[in-house]
Amino acid sequence: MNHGPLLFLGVLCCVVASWLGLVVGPHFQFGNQDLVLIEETGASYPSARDGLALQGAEIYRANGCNYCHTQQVRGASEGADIARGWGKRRTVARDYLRDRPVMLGNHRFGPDLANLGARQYTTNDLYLKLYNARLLHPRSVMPRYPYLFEERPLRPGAAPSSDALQFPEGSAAPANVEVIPKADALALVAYLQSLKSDAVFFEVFPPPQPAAATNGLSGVDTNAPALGDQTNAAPAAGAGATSTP
Amino acid sequence: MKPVSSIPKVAGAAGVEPPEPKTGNAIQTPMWFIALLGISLYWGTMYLDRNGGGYNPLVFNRGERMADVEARVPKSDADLLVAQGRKVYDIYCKACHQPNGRGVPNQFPPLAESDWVNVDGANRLIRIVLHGLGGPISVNGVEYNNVMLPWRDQLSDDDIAAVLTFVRGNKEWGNHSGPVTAAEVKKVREATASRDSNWTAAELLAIPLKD
Amino acid sequence: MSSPASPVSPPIADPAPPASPGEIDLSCRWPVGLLLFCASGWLLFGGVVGALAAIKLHAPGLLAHWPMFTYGRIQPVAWNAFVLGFGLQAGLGIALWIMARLSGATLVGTGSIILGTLTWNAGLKLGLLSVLMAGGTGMETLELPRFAVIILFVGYALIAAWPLVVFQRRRRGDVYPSEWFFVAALFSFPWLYLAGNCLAVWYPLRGVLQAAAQAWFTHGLFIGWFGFLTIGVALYLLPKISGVALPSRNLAGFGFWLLAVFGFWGGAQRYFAGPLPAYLTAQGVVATVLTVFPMIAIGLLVWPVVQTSRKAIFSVPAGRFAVAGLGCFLAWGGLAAINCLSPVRAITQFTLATVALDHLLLWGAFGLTAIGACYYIAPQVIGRELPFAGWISWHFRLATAAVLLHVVAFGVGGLIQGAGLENPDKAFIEVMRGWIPFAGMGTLAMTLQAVGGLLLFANVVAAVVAQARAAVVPVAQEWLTPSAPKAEVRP
Repeated sequence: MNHGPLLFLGVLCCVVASWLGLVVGPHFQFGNQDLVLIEETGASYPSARDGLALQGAEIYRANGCNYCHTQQVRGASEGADIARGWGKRRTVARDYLRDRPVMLGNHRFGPDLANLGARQYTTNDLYLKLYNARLLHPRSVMPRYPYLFEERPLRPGAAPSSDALQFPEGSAAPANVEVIPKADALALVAYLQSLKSDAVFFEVFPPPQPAAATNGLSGVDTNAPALGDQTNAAPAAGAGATSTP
Repeated sequence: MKPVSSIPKVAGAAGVEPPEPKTGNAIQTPMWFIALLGISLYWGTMYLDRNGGGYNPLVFNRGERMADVEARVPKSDADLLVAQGRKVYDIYCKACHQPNGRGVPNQFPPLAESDWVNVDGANRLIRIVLHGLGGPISVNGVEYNNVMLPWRDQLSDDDIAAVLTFVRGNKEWGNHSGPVTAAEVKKVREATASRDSNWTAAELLAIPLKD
Repeated sequence: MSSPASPVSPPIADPAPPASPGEIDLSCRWPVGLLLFCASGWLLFGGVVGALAAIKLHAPGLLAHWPMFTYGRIQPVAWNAFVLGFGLQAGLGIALWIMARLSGATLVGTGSIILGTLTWNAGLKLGLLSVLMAGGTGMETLELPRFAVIILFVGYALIAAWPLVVFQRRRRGDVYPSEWFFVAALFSFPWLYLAGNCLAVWYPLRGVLQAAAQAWFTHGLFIGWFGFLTIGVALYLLPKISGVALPSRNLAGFGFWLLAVFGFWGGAQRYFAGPLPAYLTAQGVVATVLTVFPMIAIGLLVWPVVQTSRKAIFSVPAGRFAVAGLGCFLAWGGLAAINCLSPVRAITQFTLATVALDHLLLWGAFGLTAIGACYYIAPQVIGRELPFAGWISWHFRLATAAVLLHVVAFGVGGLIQGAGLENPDKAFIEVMRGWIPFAGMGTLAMTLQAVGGLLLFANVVAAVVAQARAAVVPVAQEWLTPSAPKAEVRP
């Protein structure tokens, strides 16, 4: 250990080995994964985002949303993510093929967003959360993003424009102003609504349903319709799993 | 600027800077440390073997392997039809035609590599399953004379299509003929709805193999 | 193993006797002094911004109208200010000085190091400004935009070449273990940072491979820079202060290579149960558990030193800092390994506990050790006692209390948060309300850190000013006094 070059080579080998094993090897192993063709729709998954949603991804990145929100759903055996309704299945590598950068996130100070677009939020709800999350959830720690909105003074008695945010009954809506989302907010919400990791393909088929596994063929006396039902039911279940609910 | 002569007192407790540190040989690497390291390396390989998914990039769940992933993937419709046919065969056909499809010499004719099964079209086979067969019949040049029961009341069109698909396409038996659809079975069933007796080989031979 | 004068192992590079400590300190004065000065400034800044980010975590309304102060921008700034501002510069400064001392060679390349330091600071400031102005890359721990990273690389190359030159010019026979760790860290960082940036940001790999590259970089940074430096500094300071020789060279080497072999393979367990294939996270788990062994080796190595001369070590602030820092590092290793195990991971993943663990390594292990080393080295390179010596003990109390408070509060808060998240019947907003008080304690901890940083910075600034005055005032007085003496000379 008195020789600088040996020390250097040893450490270099250690770093390079880990780099090859953790980054380069996996790149050559699954860096060329294909998009999935969804047969029902003929579309490929993950689907390409439109221009507005791509701009929204830039807003998401620039404001560091990924420091509080993850975009990954753990399997049912590893956490309550699916039970919480954050997704119907776990997320896998193929879900992120089009993301650049991939913003998986490491902290859940806010809820997971991997399937936000598939969840029941109206556009107005999302705007309200961005404008002031505490209007919907008192004591929420989500920051306000007032700079994504324009507050226009409203003449007394005048109705707000159709683009303006609709505040829920009883919330502390700002008085005498109408709140209009700026272009950044439009893009960000378009991106959020494009977040869906719900297509089903090879790696992520759900475990077989217990109901489908039972069969009526326990004895010779089984009547014919039971057999017929089964033949019909099985492909239907497969097709149902492949379609996007 | 003159060289610093006074060593700051933070340098050492005694107020003078001690010499640069050296290494000694006061202790040896303890044996328990080596042993524990060996055990942990063993544990590491076992952990990787158990939870590494066989280094397959399509395995994501901890503790699974590729076979577990494949087991969850629904089979294609054709596979499902064959699986259904195998079940029907096991219940209704196996007793006479045997699990290997070779039948019983002089009693029940074979289905495997049979010149009645491996034909282009299932018109005659569907009729046999629906209404049974009686009397002498020559299969692969061997004469049989026995009665096969009709199954028209027990088996649905789907079941008959499934079992015939299974039999005709059974590569293990050496059969390579095409599938049968429930629609074909339905058509034959309707065309022969009035029949209430077994077919004879002679009657069947008069019927075209396929429409 | 053998003394420098022993004929068995003659000096490798130069038969000349080792340079005296005074000569080495003098050669280090400007480059190391500047690095430590900048580092202490960044420590203060990192504490202030860290406190601001901590406030934003539980009181998001603060400065909400300013886009640049939103949590998602201020948090990466706080992280990078500490890691790249304090961590890198303090590490480089400390490594330069200790390598020079251990090699018995004067530092060369003064101009290059100073230029490199200025470049580094300029690049970092521009980069952080860019993050504040919405220019962050979106890759956690690799946020700085490309142009800033390139400037940083230029600065790093200008600085980091010289400790290696000093190492090659060493005038002592045996290489002391600290030097192994420093050489390893100096080589690892540029490789990690370049490969991480290239594959995760500049020419990103497809999909989650970016996350794999980012996880590899982050863990490599933890081990290859912060870990190696923490151990290197502690292995130097404790025997140096106590005057006790390090008990085993073999064990030190064993620990070093174990850390180098296992350490870099961790990281992917950050995405446990996430979208990385199972084998990547499994490798991370195994590597992190095995990394406990080098930690045990280092603990076994240092324990006799601390045990035999506790009084001497604790009488010097740097000794206290080093013991606390090394303790944090060993605790981090143990907790990181426990955190890998799936029942624990299921609770702590994505929670404050993850933050606590990172904080324990960055502000606890490296922070405390490096602050101690700054207090040890700064007076010697400046050539003057720090003027507010009493503040040093206060900084120690503040910094250790802050680390303890932060780690315990976030650890407990994280467990509460994780238990809540695991209960699908508990609404998310209820889970959030459960951990907000603990996030509040983080603000207190970061404020303490900021105050501590102020104590160090004020001390360094005051010492520099005093030294400058001592050097300048006599000259200036000579110039400014009525030109009587000169008049005498002229005739």
